[in-house]
Amino acid sequence: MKSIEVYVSGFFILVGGVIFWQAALLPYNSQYGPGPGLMPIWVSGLMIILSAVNLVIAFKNKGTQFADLIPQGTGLINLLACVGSFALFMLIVKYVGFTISSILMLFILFSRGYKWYWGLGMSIAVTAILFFVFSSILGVPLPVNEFGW
Amino acid sequence: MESLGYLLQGFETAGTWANLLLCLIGVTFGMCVGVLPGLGPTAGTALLLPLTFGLPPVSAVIMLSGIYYGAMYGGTITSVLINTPGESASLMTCMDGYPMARQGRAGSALGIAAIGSFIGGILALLVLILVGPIVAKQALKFGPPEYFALVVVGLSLLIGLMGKSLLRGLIAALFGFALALIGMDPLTGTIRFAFGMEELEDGFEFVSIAMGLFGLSEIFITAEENLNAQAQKPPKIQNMLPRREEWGPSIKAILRGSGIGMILGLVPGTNSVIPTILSYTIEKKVAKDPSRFGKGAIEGVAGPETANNAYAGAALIPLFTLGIPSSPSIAILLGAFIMHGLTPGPTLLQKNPEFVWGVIASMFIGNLILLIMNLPLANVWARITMVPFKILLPNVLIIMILGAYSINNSMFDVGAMLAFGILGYFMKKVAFPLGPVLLAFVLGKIMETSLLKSLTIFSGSFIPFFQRPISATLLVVAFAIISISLYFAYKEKGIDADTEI
Amino acid sequence: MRKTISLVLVLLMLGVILVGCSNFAGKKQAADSTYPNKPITLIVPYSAGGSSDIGARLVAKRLEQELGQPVVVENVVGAAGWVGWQKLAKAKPDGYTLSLFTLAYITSYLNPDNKRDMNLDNVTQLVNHVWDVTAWAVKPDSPFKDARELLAYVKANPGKVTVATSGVYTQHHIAVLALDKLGYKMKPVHTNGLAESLTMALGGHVDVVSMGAGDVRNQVKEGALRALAVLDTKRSRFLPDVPTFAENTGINLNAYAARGYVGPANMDPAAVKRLETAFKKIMEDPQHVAEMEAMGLDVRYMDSKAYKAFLKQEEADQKKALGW
Repeated sequence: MKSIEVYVSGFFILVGGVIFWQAALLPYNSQYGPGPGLMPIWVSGLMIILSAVNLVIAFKNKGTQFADLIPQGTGLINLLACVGSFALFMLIVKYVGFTISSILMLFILFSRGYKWYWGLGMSIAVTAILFFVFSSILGVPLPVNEFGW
Repeated sequence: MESLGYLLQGFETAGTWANLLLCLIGVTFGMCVGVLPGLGPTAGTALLLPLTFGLPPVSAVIMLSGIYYGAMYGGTITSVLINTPGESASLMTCMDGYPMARQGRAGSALGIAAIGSFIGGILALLVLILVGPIVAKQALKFGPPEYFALVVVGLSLLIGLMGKSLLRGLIAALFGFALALIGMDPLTGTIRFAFGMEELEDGFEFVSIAMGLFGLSEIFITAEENLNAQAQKPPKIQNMLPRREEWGPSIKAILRGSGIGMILGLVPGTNSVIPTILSYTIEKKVAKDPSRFGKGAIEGVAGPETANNAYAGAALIPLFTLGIPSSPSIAILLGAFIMHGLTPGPTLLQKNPEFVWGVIASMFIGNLILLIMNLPLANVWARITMVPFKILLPNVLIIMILGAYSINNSMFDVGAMLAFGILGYFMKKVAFPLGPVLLAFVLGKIMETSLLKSLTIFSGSFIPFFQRPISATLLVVAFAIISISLYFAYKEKGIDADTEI
Repeated sequence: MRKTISLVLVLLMLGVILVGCSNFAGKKQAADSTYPNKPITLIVPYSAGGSSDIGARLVAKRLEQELGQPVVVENVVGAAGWVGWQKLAKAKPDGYTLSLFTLAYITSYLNPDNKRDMNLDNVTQLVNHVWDVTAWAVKPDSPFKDARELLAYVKANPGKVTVATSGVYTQHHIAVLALDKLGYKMKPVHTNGLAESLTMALGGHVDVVSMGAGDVRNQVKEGALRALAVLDTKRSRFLPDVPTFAENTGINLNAYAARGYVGPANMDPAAVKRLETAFKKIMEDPQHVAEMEAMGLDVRYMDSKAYKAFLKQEEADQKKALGW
């Protein structure tokens, strides 16, 4: 089993690689000296080298295993509820507006700790307050549906 | 002494009931927008600006500048409570402020931050009065090469703070640097690494990265640990004041922080991150037991917070004396000045003394209001840490979403925050340092632009960096810091594993 | 305790429902009167608090009084304004969505690297509002007495003289590029805006600074900087003693930021007419002119037709200077 560090190093080598490849397409020099490619080449190059060193070290050492990383049971469900409700909010906010998506997201999260009717009540209350504060007082143009909320 | 007479007159102007009320409104509103990550003083000023149109200039500027320093106080609160810096200036506060909150000492952290901010702000104002005009001219010697050298010093301090995890720290810093390179190149306007996304053409927003990497990842980890855990008894809230033995080091940290913040505030265009890193590094170096840092050392909050506010106060000196706004929020103050028929610059002090001194006096009052408000409030805020997580989590999450949205009124920044939150979650799990990512993100931008500008001026040659006295000195200092830290990292291999940021 | 909480919750829910309904009812009722009969959204494609934003908010406030409907400023930021203009283009051309418009729009789609799919035909030009003329200034002890001396030196020493421009492809930069085409090579140093340009000039880090005439007037008045020339066809009222570039050198070099207002393409002609008159009235109000003057900005009204012609001309000029 390889330590998780291997995957992390791999991730950074990948990021560095993509940037290096893109940066190589940019001119290194310009009319009056340095060009847009100067900094990215150096930064990504160094990043690849250092990550590679880290990768070699990671192969030698025994670190955290991948299996230890992902939580089990309730922990996993809680985590998925957080990320999932957030992602759901992102997906639907464009179509149904802030109010409904926010109530839905909060409902999922509150339901993890409270009875459903309490969860629903709190979701609606929090959404209503925040909508009022941000939209009316602070003048932030929140995404809304065709009814204006 | 002449200044003092003017100042007394200024207090007369600022002390009228109407102006006191406007000052109160300004600082309170500023604190509120400071607490909401993403909004910040710039948006706050823009929101209140229409209200000032009917007011006399002094009153208008009193209220608007209240927003500016009120927001500085507000930014601290989220850093301490939910590990989310609302702006780059309060980034270092997270390092020790959040651990303090987890130990039930959020009140002390916020209390000392309020005291430090007050002292730093007042000292900066005194300097503004006494030596502002003389010093400001000297600060103009800072051109792009000097900024570059200053940022290099900042980055070398960052390397110095990494300690044992040097390799991972460097990788993290380079990653942050790479993020800073996304967007329009400052020299030729070429769009880099946007992968066809228009929202990326201006690069990532600091706030969305900061909220994601720091705040959101922390929420994910806590959620996974104890959302349902039955009443894991929250640590008892302790006093808002530091413990007796902490006063000495804290006061020293505050004084040092004031000095650092003031000196760097005089230089227009430096970023408020540099004084905070500098202050944090110095505190860690002079502390008897450096290993406490990162685990809730009170000096680690007091120093940077003070430096940040002293910086904010001193940054008004270039505005008042030269008409140069040194940050976007000060640029708005400049706009407010001009809109009300006043022109900041060398002659402002001579032509409109009653105005300038009125505003300065109001800042004394405003800082005092903030201190009086914040000491008792520190405990109120700190109580938030006692709210059961199952109530706190959904509320914090939705407010963070709203905060990220309101940076540019765009869902893109919210999505970016989620992505960085997930990334931060994994990085925390494998103990990859997150601080360097954000610090390098902030500093990287300035470093690249100042380097490219300098090289343009020097026609591509590096030699002139060493021919200019200020930049040469700073680069030598940076080199010394890096060598010393590398030497210690090599020597102390394996010791004090937890001191890295 | 529990009872109180549930009572509060029920009340809040009721409140939400009521607010929702009342909004809905309000909308229906006003549907069939003349333009404008509902709030107007004004897109500002830049961050809240900047000088463009403040200028637009000043206008929005007056437009509200003029039209009798709320005008809501919405900052849609991204890609140097392009994200905001895209949002405008997608809106209904019914006159309820307008946008602040700058010449950066033209630069943005002319740049082949940007791969933009809109041009001047994707907006309906309404009026021009702000006219912000560029001036070139130097330190008082600079060897250049006027623009002619500067150009002579530049001709003899190509690429030596540095000029602070407020960013890539701003009007300041485009003017330098236009001179470049005529054989006068100066080295542009791109700052991130007014503040940095000013610092660089006062600190002597660049030879020449290119700035808005209204922004530099105080430094000139106080003797901290000396203005060489104004880049316009006539002198600026902010610097009445400073000659135009053409007066001094015979070269017509113009640089200005012109900010106006536009709507989506194919806007309802009745709404265009109504807005034209409203804007005209605002811009002719001496109080508004004074407000803008305090900010260092000139007001120059152009009606829809004139504005469109002006932008077409600007497009041609930029194409020539930038070589795209």
